[in-house]
Amino acid sequence: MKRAWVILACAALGCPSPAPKRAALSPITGAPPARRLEVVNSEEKHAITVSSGVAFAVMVSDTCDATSSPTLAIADPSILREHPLARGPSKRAFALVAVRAGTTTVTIKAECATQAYEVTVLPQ
Amino acid sequence: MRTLLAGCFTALVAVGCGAGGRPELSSAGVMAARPQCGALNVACVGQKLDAPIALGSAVELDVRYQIGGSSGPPTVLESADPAVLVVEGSRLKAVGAGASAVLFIGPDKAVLDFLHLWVEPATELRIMRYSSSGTLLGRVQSSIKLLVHDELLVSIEPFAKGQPLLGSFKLEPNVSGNTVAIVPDSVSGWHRVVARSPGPSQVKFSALGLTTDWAIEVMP
Repeated sequence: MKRAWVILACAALGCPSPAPKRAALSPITGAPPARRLEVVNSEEKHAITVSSGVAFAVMVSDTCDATSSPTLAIADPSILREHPLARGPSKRAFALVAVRAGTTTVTIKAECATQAYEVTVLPQ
Repeated sequence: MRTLLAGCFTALVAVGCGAGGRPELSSAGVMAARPQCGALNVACVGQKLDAPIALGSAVELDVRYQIGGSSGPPTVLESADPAVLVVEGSRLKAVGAGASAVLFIGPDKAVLDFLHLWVEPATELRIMRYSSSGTLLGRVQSSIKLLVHDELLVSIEPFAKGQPLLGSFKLEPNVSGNTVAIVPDSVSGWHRVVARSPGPSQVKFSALGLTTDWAIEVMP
């Protein structure tokens, strides 16, 4: 009965909706001169464009519990490779390595959210 | 290398094969050089990486770590693009033009740091003269005169469109006549050119698919 009153009150007054569960990655290093690295994190698109031979470090953030340990899954590791980054106690830092030209996806798997990125590796 | 040198001495009179490329710095020189560090400032290399590596040559990386509270951990190197750089222990072979990251990977397979290196084909070999103490004196002229018993310390260095390149490589000297001898120095990269008897000589240095000619006239 009490729960029904809460639902009615929310419907009448407008209760805050829970924060959306999200995960994203951001680069913390760049590409060398004359080589490309672009990470798009927009509502419409999540994508990475990178030149072959480039390695870059990324930090993964999410809106899950603070103790969440997200992982990265790469569809074709012959195009893009992932390594954990030895960077202090954080388990949210990774190194991504563009091995050869092609397209693949990298997916962040956090406890409360997943996010896929389309990856394009450009030729040398 | 020992086999290579022995083969060279038996095949050519007064000529010794050796390694081409910039001479290796002494440890004092290494410390004086500003080190090149990785993208995360964890791994630094003890030599100058101020240029691309010559295609077909190799570079031995002298890696030093700066990790608070730890010595440098056991590490393996890995190339991002094996079509550009191939890793053999701590040695990098430049096998294709372009750029590739080299990753420094720790014992738990975690990346400690990484560094991007460029590979470029050489377009020219230059003969550079050094003093006996190892100071670069400058580029040698294409035609020179020496007196009997004169000795020059030179290295054969690759350039691409005027830019000096890194790397060591197999160098094949060839001398017409026996008025000069070319002997590899004990320091890799240097060669001693010794004037033995009066007369003209034509020296050819071949490496990386290129050749440079050097006319030497020894005066009595």
